[in-house]
Amino acid sequence: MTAISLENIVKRYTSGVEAVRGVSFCIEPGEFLTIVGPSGCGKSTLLRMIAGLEDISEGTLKFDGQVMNNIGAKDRDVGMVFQNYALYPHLTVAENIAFPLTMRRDIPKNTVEARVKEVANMLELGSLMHRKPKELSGGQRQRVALGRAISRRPRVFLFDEPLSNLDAKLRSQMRLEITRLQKNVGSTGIYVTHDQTEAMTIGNRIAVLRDGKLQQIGTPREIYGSPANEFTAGFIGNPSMNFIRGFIEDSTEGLLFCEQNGIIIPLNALQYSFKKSLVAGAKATLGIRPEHLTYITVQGVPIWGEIIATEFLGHETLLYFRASPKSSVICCRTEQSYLPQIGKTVNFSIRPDALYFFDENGERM
Amino acid sequence: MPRPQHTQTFLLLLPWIITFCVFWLYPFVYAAILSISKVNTLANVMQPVGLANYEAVFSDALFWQSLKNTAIFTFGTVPVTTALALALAVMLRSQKVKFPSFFRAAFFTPSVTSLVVISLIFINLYARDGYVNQLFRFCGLPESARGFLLEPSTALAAIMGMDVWISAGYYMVLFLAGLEAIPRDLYEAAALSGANGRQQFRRITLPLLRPTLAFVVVINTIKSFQIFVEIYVMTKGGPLNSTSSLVYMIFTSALDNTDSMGYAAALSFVVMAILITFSVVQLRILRSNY
Repeated sequence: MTAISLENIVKRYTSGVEAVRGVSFCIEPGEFLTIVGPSGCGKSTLLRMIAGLEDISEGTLKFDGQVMNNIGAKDRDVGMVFQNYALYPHLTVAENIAFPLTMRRDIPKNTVEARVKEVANMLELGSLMHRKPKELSGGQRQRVALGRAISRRPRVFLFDEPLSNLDAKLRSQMRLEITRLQKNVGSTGIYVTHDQTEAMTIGNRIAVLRDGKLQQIGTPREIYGSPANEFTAGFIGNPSMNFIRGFIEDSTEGLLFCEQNGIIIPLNALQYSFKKSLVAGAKATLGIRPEHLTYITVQGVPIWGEIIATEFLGHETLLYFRASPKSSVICCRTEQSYLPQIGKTVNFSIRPDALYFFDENGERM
Repeated sequence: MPRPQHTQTFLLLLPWIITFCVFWLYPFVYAAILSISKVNTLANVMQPVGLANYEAVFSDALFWQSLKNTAIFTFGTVPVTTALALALAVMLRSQKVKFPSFFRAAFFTPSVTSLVVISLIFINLYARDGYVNQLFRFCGLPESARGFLLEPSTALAAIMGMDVWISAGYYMVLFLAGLEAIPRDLYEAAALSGANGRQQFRRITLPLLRPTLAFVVVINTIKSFQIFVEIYVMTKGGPLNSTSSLVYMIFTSALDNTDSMGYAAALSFVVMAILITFSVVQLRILRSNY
């Protein structure tokens, strides 16, 4: 098992564009880290730098304390699963899985055969061994790609959005398989994805990246429960967090959060510890997760809103409402199957311990 | 009565059908008839003679000499040109070469230059006092006493050398297109699997380039078998028939004499049979396996 450390990693292209801007974090031996972020945030570039497929412009990459910056991809002992599988079309499943082993001359032929068999059994590929990639389905191809990556038992396991070409059902099945496989193999893993469900379910920890900068790193629970900034708060969670832009105002009841012509929330009703002191007049954004709103009034901070749309999803219902014609649309997620009529004004309440405030720069208050 | 859409289809196909009939089918059938006839072009007389022309071809010493020359030319140039073109393509695609577009254009230039012009230039280069001989002298290699194209032992080799220079750039471009079609992912996956450059070339590039390779080898073989312009301009088949090729022989027998048009037609069919056999065999061997 290998510990990986990134110190101020920068990727700068000759055009001057910086794809990765000073990213630092450590991955514990055997840990499975997911890197998540929107398209173009530099997550794949970061992964490719770890693999040795891209040069590191600045900063230091270490495997178990050893600097890897100038060590070529072929000598890093890294297994990688690519988004479009990257299977060799002219080789059979067995030959594809054996490829990394046959590149090393020190592995005897019978060991190669035994290892291929073992991997094939692990991934249930036994009956497909003599097929060519074009004769396989997407899910089968991805399993072969996984098999090829693990057959050599690499010290580091990298995944570059491996499930994005699969359909939703297969994706959730493969998610489980990858998690199980990583546990069995025990190598340190890094998994890049733009899908927050994958990020939440696969990794021990999540690193959120935006515009080449690390936003937050932590366990799924930490990232979800205590997002460091507005971006992370909005990116993790589905449906995503509601954001209401407004300002802090002083009143006889104490400080209030006010949306222009919309929601007003007295701050002393909240069970919330602010990181920064709030002053009257400060601009702020209030974040509420859809699941922290209820529309059948229970205890909490009340908001009135007019229903503008409803979405019945079977196990849950999404209600979209607006406190006033000019205020933002807020989504409420409920397990109730009763749908209020569109246009009806309903009383919602917010869980008093589940509000997030962000300052003008999007940082948590 | 044909249905309207059939008429329409036929009308749309008509330009091609006309061209095909006029420039392909008619000459082909006419040549086939010629090949079994004795033709006197001056008297405009045509008599059927059965397979006599074919028998004449196979008992002609010049035919066997020309076949040998053409075979030497083809088997001598095709592997060298193909290997050189592939090497150039791989080199240009590796990021180590600076100004790749300049080199790509430079290597490609000979194949878009007139063959006659190139041949005339090479006549001078290969002459007794030409640059090639001077270079040989400078390097201490055996010189050509009368110039390379005037010695039976060197004339064919000299033309072969020139042909490699002309064609390599053209096939290089085909290989570049073939290389471009191989996903970069595969090389990255191979590099991560521990494959070095040589292993990547042998295990990925070559097998995946097979369709391009087959195409290049077949086209190059056909083209080499039809070598004519260089020989017509540079040596006229000489010295001592040492550069006479099959197509050059077809040309001379058809036009130099008034009574051997039938013979030339028979020879053409023999060349066609050889080429079809070669192409089928090559395509079988180099068939893509994925």
